[in-house]
Amino acid sequence: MISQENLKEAILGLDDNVEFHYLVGPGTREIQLNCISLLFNNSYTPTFWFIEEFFDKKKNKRHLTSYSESRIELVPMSENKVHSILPEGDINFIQSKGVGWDINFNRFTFKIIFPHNASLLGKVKVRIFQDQVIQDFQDTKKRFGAHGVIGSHEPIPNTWPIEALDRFKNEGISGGRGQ
Amino acid sequence: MSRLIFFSQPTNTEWGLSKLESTLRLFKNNKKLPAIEKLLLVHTPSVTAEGIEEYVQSQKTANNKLELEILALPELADFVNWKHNFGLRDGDWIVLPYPGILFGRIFHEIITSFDFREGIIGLCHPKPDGVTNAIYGLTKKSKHALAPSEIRMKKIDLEMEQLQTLRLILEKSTNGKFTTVSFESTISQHLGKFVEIEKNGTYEESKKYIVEHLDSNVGIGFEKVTQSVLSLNRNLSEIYHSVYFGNDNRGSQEEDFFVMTNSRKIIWISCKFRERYGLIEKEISRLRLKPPLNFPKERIYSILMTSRTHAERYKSEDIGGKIPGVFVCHSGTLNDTISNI
Repeated sequence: MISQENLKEAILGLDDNVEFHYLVGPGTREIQLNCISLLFNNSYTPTFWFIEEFFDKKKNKRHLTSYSESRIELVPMSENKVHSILPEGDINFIQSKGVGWDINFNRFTFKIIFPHNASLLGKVKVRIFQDQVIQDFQDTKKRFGAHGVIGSHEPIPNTWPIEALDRFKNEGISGGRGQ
Repeated sequence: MSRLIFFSQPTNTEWGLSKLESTLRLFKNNKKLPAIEKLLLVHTPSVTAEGIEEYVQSQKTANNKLELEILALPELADFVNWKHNFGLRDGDWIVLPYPGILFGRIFHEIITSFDFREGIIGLCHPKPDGVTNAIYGLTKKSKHALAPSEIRMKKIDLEMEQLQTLRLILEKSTNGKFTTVSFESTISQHLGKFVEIEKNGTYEESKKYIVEHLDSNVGIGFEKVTQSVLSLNRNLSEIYHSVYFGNDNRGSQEEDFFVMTNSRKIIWISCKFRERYGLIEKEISRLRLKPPLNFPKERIYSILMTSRTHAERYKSEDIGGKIPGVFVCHSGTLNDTISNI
């Protein structure tokens, strides 16, 4: 593993016969463009790959696919396996925020659980609760990538104002309203 | 004929519109760039008719002499397909999409299918800083006839025109529920006096002055002070007060101030003139939240405006406990803090 700053130095020290394979994403456009232009400008033409996903209600199949139609099926990663490769800081974060792992979707899950007295909370308390959980969700996305986390909540109590549901929706956290 | 190819996005529309308009203006006004004769707007069914109309209006505003072609596709990645007549051509300039499947496909096609040895393909990346557009020119050459071709990518950073206004961004998120604050050259005697008291006085003295001279409600009086201090700041381009977020009028969430700096950063300012420091800490923590604005998150900051006593206490605390992107200041340091963001 090398940092982006050291990529140029690493490429310059390589043999001409080295083949590059480039997996698109994650990362910003800027990072990707820097890496790709560095390869091109040093006479390397990489093979581009992406992760192809087939969503199904029961199972999600994932392939490492090249644009030249090569396809390698990816083995689902268990939660334990994911935890085994994460740095300690990420594990501590996962444990403190209750972040889970969905083996079928290969993404982290952030499930919002309401307190037992949720239906009795007033408007101000609802807002404070939402501030906190949305902040945790934003922190989780910042740590694991905006597309690497699925946010959901239990059906919100029907005593809560309707805008509480709007707020979750606007943040990309799915879930409905209780009856 | 040089085309500019733009992939319309169904979300974060304000930023998308700004990227399109500023890139078109750049090509129109910058002599280093080739003349663009056509805009190809590519979208999927997830972009609404109103959304498309907004992109079309953006093009007309930036350069109404351009020929416009709109292409609806089931998937954006279908665009780069050589079996159809709309694929990449020599002289095309592409505003790069999100680094996903389409992004990789563009590079794959440039490498494998597209022969542009006589010309150039261009890529544009309007950066989230809202200021720079990274322009990449790609050329393809072979050392000799039988050698495989090699690609070179040359980059120049060009400055974009600043087009996004905070008003436009807020109108979408708040249904226009906010109050515009005008810029002033001076502040009233009472407000000025409060600022003086805050410099050396105690919390109680400041609070007493607010209640007696500014407003019987301390919170509202303190917001008046904040508004007044902000109205003097010439590093700001827009100031809005009492901003209500929510999808409709069902009683939404109010935030105190949103301002835009001349360097196109948005600052969310919350006012809290409370005695208990615990409440101040809670508010600082709340300000870590990114507000629901369609704007690059990297350019959104927060300020807690509070009493001098609390601001100084926070300043004296260990830096490890401080939250990046959240600043705490008082009436005497508010404008300096904004200038330093």
